[in-house]
This record gives sequence, structure tokens and C-alpha cells, in this order.
Amino acid sequence: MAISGLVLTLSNDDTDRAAALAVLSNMTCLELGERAGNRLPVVADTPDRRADRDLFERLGRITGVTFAEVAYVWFDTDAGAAAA
Amino acid sequence: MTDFSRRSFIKATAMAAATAAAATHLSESEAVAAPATRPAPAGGDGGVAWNKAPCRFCGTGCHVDVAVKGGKVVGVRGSRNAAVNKGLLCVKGYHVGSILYGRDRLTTPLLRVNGKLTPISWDKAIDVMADRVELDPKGFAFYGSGQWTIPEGYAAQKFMKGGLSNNHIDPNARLCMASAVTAFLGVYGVDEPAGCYQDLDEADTIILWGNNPAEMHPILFSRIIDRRSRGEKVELIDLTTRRTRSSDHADHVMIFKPHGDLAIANGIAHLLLKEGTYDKEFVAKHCNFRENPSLKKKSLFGKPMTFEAYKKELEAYTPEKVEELSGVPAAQIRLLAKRFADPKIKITSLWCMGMNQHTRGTAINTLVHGIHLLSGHFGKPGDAPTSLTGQPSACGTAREVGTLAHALPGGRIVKLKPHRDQCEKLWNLPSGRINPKPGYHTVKMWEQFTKEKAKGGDVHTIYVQVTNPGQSLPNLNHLFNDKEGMKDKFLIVSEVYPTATTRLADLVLPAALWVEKNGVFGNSERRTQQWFKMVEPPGQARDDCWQTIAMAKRLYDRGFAGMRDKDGKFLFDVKDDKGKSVPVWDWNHYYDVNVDKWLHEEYRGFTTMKHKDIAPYDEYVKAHGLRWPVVKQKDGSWRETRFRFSEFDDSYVKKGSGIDFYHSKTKDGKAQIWFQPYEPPPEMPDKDYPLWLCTGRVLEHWHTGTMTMRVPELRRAMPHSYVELNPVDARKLGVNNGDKVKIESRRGSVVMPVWIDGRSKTVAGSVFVPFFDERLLINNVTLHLFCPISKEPDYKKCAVRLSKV
Repeated sequence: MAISGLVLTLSNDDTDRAAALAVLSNMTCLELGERAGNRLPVVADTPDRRADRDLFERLGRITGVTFAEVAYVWFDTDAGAAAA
Repeated sequence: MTDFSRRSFIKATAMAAATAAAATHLSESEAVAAPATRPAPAGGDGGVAWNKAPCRFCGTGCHVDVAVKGGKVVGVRGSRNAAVNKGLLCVKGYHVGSILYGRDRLTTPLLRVNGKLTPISWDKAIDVMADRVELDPKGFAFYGSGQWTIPEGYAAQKFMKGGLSNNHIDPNARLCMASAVTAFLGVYGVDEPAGCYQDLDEADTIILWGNNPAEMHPILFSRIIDRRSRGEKVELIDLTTRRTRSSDHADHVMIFKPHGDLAIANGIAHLLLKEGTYDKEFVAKHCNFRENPSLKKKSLFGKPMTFEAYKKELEAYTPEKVEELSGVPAAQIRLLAKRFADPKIKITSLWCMGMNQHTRGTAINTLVHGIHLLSGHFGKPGDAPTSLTGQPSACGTAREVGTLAHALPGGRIVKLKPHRDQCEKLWNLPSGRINPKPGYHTVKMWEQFTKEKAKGGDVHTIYVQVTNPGQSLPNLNHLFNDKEGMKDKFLIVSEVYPTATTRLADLVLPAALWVEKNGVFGNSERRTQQWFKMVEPPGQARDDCWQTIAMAKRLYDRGFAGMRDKDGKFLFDVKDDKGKSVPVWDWNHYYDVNVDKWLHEEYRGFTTMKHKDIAPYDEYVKAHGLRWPVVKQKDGSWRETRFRFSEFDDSYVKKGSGIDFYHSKTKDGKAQIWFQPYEPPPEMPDKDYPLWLCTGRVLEHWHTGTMTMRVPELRRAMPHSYVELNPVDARKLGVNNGDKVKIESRRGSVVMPVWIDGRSKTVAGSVFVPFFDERLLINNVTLHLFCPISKEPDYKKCAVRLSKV
């Protein structure tokens, strides 16, 4: 289980922002929060940290998402599983 | 609690944290010295304990709340009350908890016996270290780090300069910010930025000088993104030698040739003078002019010059001439000068390694300060020349504690007797104990170590803590690799994982990492940040500070005179609250008392000497850091300083002066505007080595990758190094993505895969290689020539050739 709380900054461009919101709201692993201006809190719920990390990368590449940051990470089920 | 309800609880907590962070603007004007209220216990998630710590990675100094359960770190979140990051973290901060849990953590001391690293006891290890000191104390060197905690660096500093009368101690920070230090000294007479991160919230124009904060300091960059997302106009100008992720957000991208930054800064000053748009009142009241005695003879403080002479020197730097030297079109030079000429806007310049790792590092640093001073864009929130640091305590431990070869704590230097006297008094040492001769700076230290004794190599042992010189030093074939097989040299390395440095070590010491120990860091904006140990280190791994004290005690027990103060007491006679000595050299008793607090309070005595005042330790326990000078108020509270030298905020500024450079070298309250001519780089592409090489970092990995390469997700995202090529050069070479090429310089070579137009976009004729990969050591290729003032090497430009393998 990997759960993270992320903050996505959305574009100032109305069209791009709407497109980004449409994509995000169709992602089943995401729960969207209430927007504060152009900043959108989301919770990602994925099977493990690897998937969480991949998701984070994907989010940052969506048209209309200008920046992605992290507010919370929970990874206790695989803490200690990191390998060299 | 069922797994479902636990999951729901954690998701609700994650949403609460993200919502709060999203709703909080990063602007800190309303958030000075926010209290570090410990997060409420997360009842319902199984007895997790939360506590605060600064992030382990870069110099931004974000605070994280760390969740501990069952003796392990199980989660992190950005600290909402921390003014630096307001609840946010970057992708590296996201993974910071995982750095503790790589499977190959070093857990026992290892001594090389017959060529093989063999487990030994700590007692034996400490004996070996003491033997190496006693062999010849003058030939023992300490190589530290901007990742040292402040108490760790302070203890090492006291051990060497106060105990061994030996100044051969230098941090890896010499490789990353020494040029910033020398420029601050040369311009203001005292080190470290005057402003703070609030400048990013108030500036109208932000100029990146060879800086890529979108990847290297993402949380600082997000302040700009945050402002823009709220509809604020923030102009971003990117002066760079290659397009980066920061360029993607810039209004103007100005690509310059290596060393062209010197010409650009002079071109701006030229136009300000020619057009009479410099700030005449500010300059008259607050500035002097300075130059080097000659091109060949450069010095930290140079010699005075008149305004007229300064103006005359700049006459040659017309926009057209600057275009020729830098490659930046004259129109863009005029645009930059126009911005500086406008008193209505506020301008912040940001830089980091691009300006520091430069054979004219001190020069370009002073020039950028100079154009801010000349134009009066200084001393108001948003108007600031600001250097950033790459390591979490380069400022705190290297610069403030003064773990550089020439320095003493608190801005003192070894060559001045009054400074040595002050230090000897505070350490209660007999007069004359501190050696007046500066020790070896980093490059010299490693040269002396890898040179045979018979040939003058007078450093026989180096003790390395918290850094990886076997990968990070430039020109490794000259400065590190020669150590192999040298019988009269001995390398001691305290580390958390096997590295390129431990590969040649004779003694490897397993170290505690981050929240496995108490600590204090000092970030890029003069913010001192404290944390407590939260989990046990694995196996026999122990604190670096303990290692230093244990070695000192072993020498003391053997009768080594330097480990005694003038009353015969041990240099690290740590006492508890009742004044009773605690045997902290015995690991079983190290945490009977807070050694960090004891060292902090001793160190605090130094910090008022140059107005870098820090508060008592307990004040930092309550806060997410405080920016020095921290000054005690009449009501007994402690007040931090955001804007030094500005009367509205700095208690030490003379009333009525507005701006007061109270450590001015000219003792008149004025800063120094320097003239520094353009000079070409010492090594440039030619017919044999036709390409420029620039090295640096990537988003996923921090420095040499010792920690981030142990985080599987980061390793998978960026599994190996590469050479970034422009399509034009790729076509000439006949290579495609993934093809291997040999990169050769006059110093060495390495083979690695090609990435054409990769994450950044190099210009034709130049290549970029990140240095995080210990299997692909680009520093076999780089140059070890350095700035003559700061002694900081240039990793950003040398000549190479590529061939298809």
C-alpha cells in the first residue's frame, strides 16, 4: 500500500486546465480534493511505492499540470524493502 | 483497526495534508518564525510517533514531519508550519525516509587486511585511528562535508585545529560554494546572503544565472509557480549554457558560451553607466570600487579604484562586444540592463554551481553582486543577489562553523592572531596552540595524499566523514585513483553505504544517517534547524560526532597533549545538567546527555563575533529553524533576521543609515563593487578535443547517488548516467539514443550511453553528463583547475572528444 497526498498546480490557461481536470478525474487511483485557486490537492492510492512514483511522474507530464509537489507519503508496508 | 479503516484513515490524513498545503501560499511574509508545533499524534493509525527534521538532501532546508512506528521510519509529510516549504516536498523529499533502508548498509567497522576489508571491533578501529594520528599529527587530514551536522563539523574542527594544531581540514563544500564565500567576503566583508527566500515572493523579475532550480531546488522554484498560478506577473530570465526544465518556465532564455557570464555582467554595468541609469544615491552612500592588482595577481580584497577608473574599464563591454564574447544577442544584454535600470521593479538573482564551479568563480560572484549594488537593487524584499547551496548544511557547517582550511568558527581565520586568541580563549587552550598557517584546501589536500611521501606528499592519512570524494573530486585520476597501492597512505572513511571512496579505504566506519542521530543543519538562507534522533542506526553504525570524540579520547588516554585544554581537561568534557562529566566517548553513554546541545552552546560563543548570532539550543527545538543573526529582545524572546544590512530588519544596522554594511572591509559601512575583466576559460575546445563538457545533477539523484541510488523507485527512474548530445553532434558522430560513446579529455575517459536532446537541450558543440553514477565516473574526465581565490574547481567546462564505441 502506498498513499500520498499531492498538490498539483494547474495551468492559468482555461482550456489546458479543463483538459487536465478531465484527465485527472478519470484516474481511478486518484481522489481529487477541493481546488484552492489553481492548486489541486489529490490523494493517490496505489499498490506500492513503485506505482506511486510512476504515477507522480505521469501527473507532472499531463498537459495543464504545471508542477507537482508532495505533501504526504505513507509507505509503511514496504519500509525496509528498499534494495541496493 | 481493519486494513480498510486504516487505509481510509491514512487517505483522509493525506487529503487533509494536501488540502492544507494547497490552500497555503508559499509566501512567507506572514509566517516569520512559525512555531514548530509538533504534529498532533495520529491517533487511529497505530501509535505512530511524529517529529520534525530538515530534509537530508539539498540546501533549501525543507522541513519534514517524520513518522516512526516500530523503530522504523514509515512516512513523511511536509511540515505545514515550516516557512521554507509550507507542507510541500519535492520528489527527493518524498523518498527521504527510504534512504535509511538500503540493503547494503554498512553495519560494522572494516579494516583492510591483506587487501581485503575485514570486520573488526570499534575499539580496534579507534585504536587504528589514534595510531595514524600519532604516526605524525601534522600529516593527518580531515575531509568533511556540507552534509556534516553543525555539531559534527564543530567537533572535527576543534579536534584538528584545537587538538592537533593542524589546519588540514576542509569540507567538500570547497567543491560547491567556496566561490560564493570569497565573493561575499570581498564585497560585504562577511559571508552569506543578505536576503532570504522571501525575496522570491516579492521579486518582479528573477534572473537565473546558470541555475536550474526547477530540478535542483524545486520547492523554491514552486514559490514562483505558485505566484504565477495566482495571476501574479513574475518575469523569469534564464541565463544558461543549455536549456533545462527551468528554461521551460522562463520568459527569456539567454544561452551563453562558457565564461560568457563574466562578459554579460560587465555588459549590464557598462549600460547602466553609459546611460546614467545606475542608482547614483545608493552608490554614493553605500559603495566603493575595487579591482585586482593585476590580471595575474588576484586577491581576495584587491585594491581600491576610483569610480572614473571603473567606468573606463567597462567602456569596452558594449552590447556588441558582449555578444561576441558571450553569444548572447546585444538586444538581450540591453533588455537585462533595462531591467536593472528600472527602480520600480524588484530583481532577485539566483545562482548555485554554475557560478561557483568556475575558474573565475569569485569574479563572477562579485560581478553579480556589483550590478545589484550599482543599480540599487539591494536591501529591499525582492531586491537581492542570492546564492543557493547544494548541501543541507554547507552554510551551517562549512561556512559558519568554518571547517575550511583557513578558517575558525564564527567568521574567524587562523592567520590572524587576535582571532586565534579569541578561539583559544573560548576553547580554554594554551596560547599558541592554534597553528597560524592555513591548511590544505581540498584539491591540495588530495594532491598531497596521492603523492608519495618521498616526492613531498606530506599527508599520510585522510579521515573522510559524510562525503564521497572517490566520486566527487574532479580529475579523479590525479586526485584519488593514484592512492591505490600506495603503502604509506591510509584512508579512513565513515560512510553509510559502500561507495567509490570505500573501494580504496583502509578503514571503513559504519555511520548513523539523518534521523538515526541528533542533528543541526544550516540552510541557504542562514536558517539553523535542529532535530532529534528518532530511530536506531543499524548494527554497529554510530554517529560521526561520536567517532571524532572517541578518537580524541583515545589520544587523551595515551597522553597526547593536544587533547587537553590548558587545565589538563579533555577537550570534549561534556557535562550533564548538574555539571557532572559524562563519558560520551563510550557509545553506551553517548546519548545519556545531548552532546549536540553541549557543543551548540560552546559554539554559540563564537557566533556573536561577526554578528552571526545563534540562539540557545532549546529555541531551535521549538522552531522550524531561525535565521541568524538571532537577537535577544528586551522581553527575553529571540528575534531572527530576514534581511541583513537593512535597517528595517537588522538590529545591528546603525540607526538612520538605511543600509549599513557593518563588516565593510573599508570600515566605512560601504560594500565593494568590483571590476573583473572577462577572461577565456583555461581549457577550450580545439581540434583534438572539440566539445565542451558540463557536468551536474539530475532531479532523481542527489550528488553522488549514495543515498538516492538505494531508493529503488529513483534508481529505476534514472538507472544510469548518460551523455546528453545535441542532434547536430549526434549526426556528426553517427550515433543514436542508447549507443555507447567514449568521452575523453586530456585527463581520462569514460564510456556511457548517448541521450540525444534528453531532459535538457545542449547546444551544438557541448555535452552534458550527470555525475551521480559511481559506475560511470565522469570525474575521471573533468578538470581540477580552480578559481585562484576560492580554490573551487570548475566542473562546468572543459574540452572533450567523443567517439563511438
